[in-house]
Amino acid sequence: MRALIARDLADAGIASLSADRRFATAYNAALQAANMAIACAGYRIMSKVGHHRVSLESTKLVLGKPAHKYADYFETCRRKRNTIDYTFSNVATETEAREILIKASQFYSEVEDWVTKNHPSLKM
Amino acid sequence: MRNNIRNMRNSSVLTALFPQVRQGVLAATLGQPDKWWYLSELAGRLGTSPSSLQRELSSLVASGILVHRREGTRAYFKAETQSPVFRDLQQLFEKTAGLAPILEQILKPFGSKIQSAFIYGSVARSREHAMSDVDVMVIGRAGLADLSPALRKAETRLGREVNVTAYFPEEFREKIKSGDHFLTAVLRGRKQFVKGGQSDLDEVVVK
Repeated sequence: MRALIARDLADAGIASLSADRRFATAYNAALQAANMAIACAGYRIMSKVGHHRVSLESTKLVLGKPAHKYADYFETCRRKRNTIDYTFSNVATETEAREILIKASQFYSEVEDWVTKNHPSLKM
Repeated sequence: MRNNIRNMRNSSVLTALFPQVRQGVLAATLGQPDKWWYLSELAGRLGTSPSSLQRELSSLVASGILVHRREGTRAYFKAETQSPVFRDLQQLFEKTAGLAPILEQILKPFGSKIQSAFIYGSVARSREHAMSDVDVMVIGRAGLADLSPALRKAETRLGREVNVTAYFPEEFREKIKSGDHFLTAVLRGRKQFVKGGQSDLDEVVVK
C-alpha cells in the first residue's frame, strides 16, 4: 500500500500530465491512505457501490478529529474525480490539481503519524 | 434539516410575510418546482412532523399554489407551475431564501480571498430539473479545501449537490487569454453572482 501511495503521489506531480489525470491520481493516493489507516485499525471496506465515500467517511472514526477537515475536502474531490474518470475531460483546474497533491501528501503524513503512534509494529 | 427553518428565520422579509412552516414549505417546493415531495420527506427536510404540515399544505393546494396527487395511501405535493403567481412567488423566495442568498451567506466569511463567484449552468439559466446540481465558479485564493466544509453546509440547506470549480486569478486569466473552450462558454452564458458582480469579474480578467 505504501508503495502504491508513493507511486501515485509521485505521478500526480508529473507536470506534463493533464490537470485531470494529476487530480485523479492524487485523489487515489488519498483514498489508499484512508484505506491504509482503516486496515491498520483492523477493517476493510468492501468493494460495493459507494465504497470510496465510505472509506473517506470512515477515516473520521479511525483517525479522529484531525481527519474531519480532510474527509469533507476529499468528498468534494471524489465527485470531481468521478466526473473526470467517467464523464468529461478538462474538469480539474491547475489550481485544484496542485492543491489536491499538497493535501493528499499532508493527509498521508497524518496517517503515517497515526500508525506510528497507535500501531508501532506497523510503522514505516 | 432544521437549518432550513433556521435560515428562514433570518429572512426578515419572509418572516413578515409568512408563518414559519409556510415559509419552509414554499422555500422547498418553489426551490425545486419539478419535484414531487412525499409528505414525510418534506417534513424531514423542514425538521418537523408530517401532521404539522397538513393544514398548510391543504391551504396551499386549495389556493392553487401547490398541486397534489395520491399514489395508494401516499400523498405527494409540488409547486403549481401554471399558477399565475408561481413565477412571482418563486422570485421572492429566490431573492430571500433561495440558492444565491444561501451561497452568498456561505461564501461571505472568505472575504477578499474570493474575488468573484457565480452560479453557472442549468441552474443559472433557470432550466434546471428537480435534481440538478448547482455549478459554482470561484475565483480567488480560496481552494476546494477551504471551501468544502462551507459547501457541505450549503448542500444540507439546499438539499442538492453544489459543485465548485476553483481558480486562482492567474490561471483564470491565462485560460481566458488562450481561449479555453469551457471558460469561454461559461462566461458567455448566464450567471448569477454570489460574490461581487460583472465588474469584479471583468477586473479579474483584464488585470
